[in-house]
Amino acid sequence: MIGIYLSPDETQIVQAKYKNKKLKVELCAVLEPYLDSLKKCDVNFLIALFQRLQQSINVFYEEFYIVLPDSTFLLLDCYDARSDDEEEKMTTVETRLNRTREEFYAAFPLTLQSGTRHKETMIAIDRAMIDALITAAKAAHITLVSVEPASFAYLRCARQWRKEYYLLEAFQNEAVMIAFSPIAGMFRLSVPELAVSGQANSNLEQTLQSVLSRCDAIANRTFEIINTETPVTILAQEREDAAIRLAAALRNRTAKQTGFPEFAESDIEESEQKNFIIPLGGLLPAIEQEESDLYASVPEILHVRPANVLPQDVRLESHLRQVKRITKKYSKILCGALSAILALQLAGILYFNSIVIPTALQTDYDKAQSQMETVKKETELIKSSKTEHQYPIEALTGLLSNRPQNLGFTSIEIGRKGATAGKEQDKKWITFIAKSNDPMVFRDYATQLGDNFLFRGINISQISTDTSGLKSATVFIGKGTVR
Amino acid sequence: MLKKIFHYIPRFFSSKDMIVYLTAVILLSVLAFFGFGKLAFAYQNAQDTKEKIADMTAFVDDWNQQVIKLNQEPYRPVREDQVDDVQSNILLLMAANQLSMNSFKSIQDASQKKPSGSLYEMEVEGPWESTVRILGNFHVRDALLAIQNVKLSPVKNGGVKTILEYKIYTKPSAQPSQGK
Repeated sequence: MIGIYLSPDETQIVQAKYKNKKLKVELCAVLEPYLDSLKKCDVNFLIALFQRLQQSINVFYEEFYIVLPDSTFLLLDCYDARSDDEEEKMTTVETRLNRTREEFYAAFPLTLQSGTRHKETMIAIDRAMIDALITAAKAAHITLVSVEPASFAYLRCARQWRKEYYLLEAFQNEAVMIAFSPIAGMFRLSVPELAVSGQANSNLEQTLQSVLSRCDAIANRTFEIINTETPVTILAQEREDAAIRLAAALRNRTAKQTGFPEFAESDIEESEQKNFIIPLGGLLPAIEQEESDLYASVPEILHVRPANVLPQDVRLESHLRQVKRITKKYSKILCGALSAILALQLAGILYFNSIVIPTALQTDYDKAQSQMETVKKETELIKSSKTEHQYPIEALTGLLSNRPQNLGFTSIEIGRKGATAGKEQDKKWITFIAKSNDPMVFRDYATQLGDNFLFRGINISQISTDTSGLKSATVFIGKGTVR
Repeated sequence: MLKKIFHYIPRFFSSKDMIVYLTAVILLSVLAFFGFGKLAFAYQNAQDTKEKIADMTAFVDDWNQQVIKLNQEPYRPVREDQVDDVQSNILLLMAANQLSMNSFKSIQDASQKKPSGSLYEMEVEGPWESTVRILGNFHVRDALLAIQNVKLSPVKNGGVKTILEYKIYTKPSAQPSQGK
């Protein structure tokens, strides 16, 4: 948020952000005065002010709070009201200004209601000036949300609603005194004799005394009750050693100008902070909801409302334009992002859809599937053939290699007919019938056969004698390790 | 507050570019939403396809390995129609080695539920050396043969009578060829 104080002598700018219960003051700057442009309703100059700000700071998301010197307003006064009727209030203003309500904007920031006492504080400003400001803001795409008097901005910043005081806004060529009473309201008194250009006058003390007496008298009349020696706060007068600050008339009545509130954080010196108190006070309405102690000290009988003279419709229009701008900006960004996402999605979909089973692989797979069973069966056949084959030549070689001279075979059978391949077949792999004249030969031969790894389990099942007197042995041999 | 919002909604959309922008955002958002679904679906399909490709490649590689191994075998089962040819060659082999055939018959392979070939019994007679030679080189080209039983007994003329039971293995189906 940006607060701009268009004083006659200079234009003060304050930019701040509210976060985590702290008001971070990011910028405090001073430009040449633009108030005359506003008074002349010079839209182009006002646009130039806003554009100048846009060059230095990012104003896209910012709301602008304009503060004008109290002297700019047509009316700032406190009166006895008969009712709360808005229509009656507007009629009162019309009567006081002798203008129709189409010629001004008004606000009623302070209302006192205590028993029979009912006082209203009214402020009014020339409509043409505000319309020029609104037009310039619209042209420069600025979100204008508030226009209020400097005195109210100061009161809000000071947060001392239970004290009476006079605020002296002294500029180079003009000065006004604002009187505030917590049990009545506010009024403005024009005091051109206290302008800075006239303060070097040797009659300053007298002038001051005269002004203060006049203020006190009017305050007594307007507020009915006012303390004597009401403290005076001198605003808009930079130099601490200015003659007016040292005047005897104010010796016991000068109130120290307040600095930034405690919740405000800033890099500028505390002594410099009072120079920017008014634009800062102007943007405090943005955080009224969060900082409830802005109005904590307001007496119960006094009702404080915004001193914003900007019409409600204008404020809402301004907000609407800002929302539109932001929406358009983020819509463009979102459209760009979504388009990029869609492009990536399309690329991803095309890529993933391109992953297909290669035709060659599919063909090979189909062929392999159709032939795998056959291949496995054939491999099994070859494996089983090695079990079924009885290795006759290896058997014969083993038998004959150690055959004794006096031993002859009458029959050799390798493999068991009808037996299934496996243990049964292997136990009686070879059956032979041999003949010899010496029965011991069979035993010796069996022992020698047992030493051969081809054979296992040599069993001479029977030895008999045939008709010729030769011994006949039937021998079973099991299969050992063949190949 | 709500009344104010509803009052300003038409003014918010009064400019055409606002409608265009918001329509574009809504349209693109909807497309992006469905796009995510489509992308997820395509991704899942791609993952499944990759998995399938890996499985198929592994299967084809395994099949290739098995076919290579099979083709490296020196002896392989023959086709049904080649059995007679193998048998003829065995007879010729016997004759070539001076072994005379006394008898020959085909027998049922009772040891297996599904016969893996043709079983034969042959009785031959001849010199011992020829018999041993035959037993040691009982091959016909690359046909897979197995001698399941041999019974040898001497005969009066000094030779050997051999009763030979052998199997000619036959293929289960068509000849496999190696893939790429």
